[in-house]
Amino acid sequence: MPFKKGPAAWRRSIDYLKSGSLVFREKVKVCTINYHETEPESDGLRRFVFWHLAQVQYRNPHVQCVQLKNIVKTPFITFHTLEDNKINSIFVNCYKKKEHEILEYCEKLVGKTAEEIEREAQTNQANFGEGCSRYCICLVEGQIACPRYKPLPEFMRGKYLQYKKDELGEIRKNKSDQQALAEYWNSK
Amino acid sequence: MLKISNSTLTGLKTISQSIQQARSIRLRKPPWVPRAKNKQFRVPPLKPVNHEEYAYMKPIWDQYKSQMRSIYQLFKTEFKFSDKESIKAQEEKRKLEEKENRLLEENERVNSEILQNQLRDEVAKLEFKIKTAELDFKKQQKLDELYVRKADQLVSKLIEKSKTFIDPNNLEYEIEKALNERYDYNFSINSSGYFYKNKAQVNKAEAFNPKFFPKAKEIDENVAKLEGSETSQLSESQQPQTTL
Repeated sequence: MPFKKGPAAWRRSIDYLKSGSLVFREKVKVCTINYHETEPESDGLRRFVFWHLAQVQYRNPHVQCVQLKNIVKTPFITFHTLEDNKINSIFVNCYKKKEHEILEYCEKLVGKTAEEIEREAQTNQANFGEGCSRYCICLVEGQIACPRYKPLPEFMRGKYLQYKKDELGEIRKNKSDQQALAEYWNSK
Repeated sequence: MLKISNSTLTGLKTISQSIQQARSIRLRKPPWVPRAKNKQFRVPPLKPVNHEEYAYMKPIWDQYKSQMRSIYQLFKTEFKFSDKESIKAQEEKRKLEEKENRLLEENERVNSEILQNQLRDEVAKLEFKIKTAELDFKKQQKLDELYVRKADQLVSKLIEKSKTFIDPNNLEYEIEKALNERYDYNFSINSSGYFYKNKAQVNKAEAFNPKFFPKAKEIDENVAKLEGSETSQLSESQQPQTTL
């Protein structure tokens, strides 16, 4: 890995960011962090911001995280929530707390459990399309094969329905639509 | 023969406007690039609108769209109807709500505890500040007293010295006085700095005084022992030589 600049540069690596454990619930919209840059009481919150805020923002891209510095002496976090068109705020006092304590407490209060995160990360195996194992419905068992390799019967093709109605009529004299379908399914 | 209502006529106007807009949109090229040579005077063909068909299809379409929209919205908000869910789902929802409320109450309790801690710390800080201020004040007072005492000492020394100062008006008198002064140097000094004259301990002024000559006193026995021990420790060469 090339030499990275800045203090604790691995905080900016994707492995570290993805390993964040705090995923907010849907009701949380804004998270404001109040702390002081020099006072010893807000030491824990400062370290929390240094180590864990990037992880939180990475896992919650639609939540606004704001830092308000050097305004109030006591360090605290507020979570502004929106539930049933009601706006509430949850306060967490971080006076003389350590960064791991703050993380754990916030996870318990306002974060999703590990089980919920796992459940949401699972994708439906039956899906097809972009990003899935099958790119088209023609690969699904029990569906019509790709008409690129196996042309459909004439009564299902727009070419014969729009422009070649006479030829379609002639084909229909010989065999019905159902027969043509049956032939299609039985052939390779 | 169908009756074309007023609403359909206004609808037809908007359609023609939108079709004209669509005919002049170019998706691949940017808008500041001029029209190509073979496309300069090209008017793309306009599909004619069948008024009868349009008048028949529009209300049908509107009805269909409004129905689909209402169903979509119903499905979207249905999960919020708690009384239409199964009993198990309702119970789970209630449990989740209870859990959240409990967590919030506990959070408030914890916050109040921390607040009390904070207030106690602030009070302790204030008291500490007051105590240190008092101690500093006392120290400063002592220092000031010391300075005053030192100053008094210096002043008293100077006053003593000032008694021997020379008056510049009586310079000749002072010079003659100094020249006529006689000092007597026939005294000895101990290693610890005591003056001795005729084996009697004497202070500095009496030592230099030519008129003062004490009688030979008996020396203390302890002093004699000390002096004797000192001289015995010294080697023969270092002992005081009496011969001249």
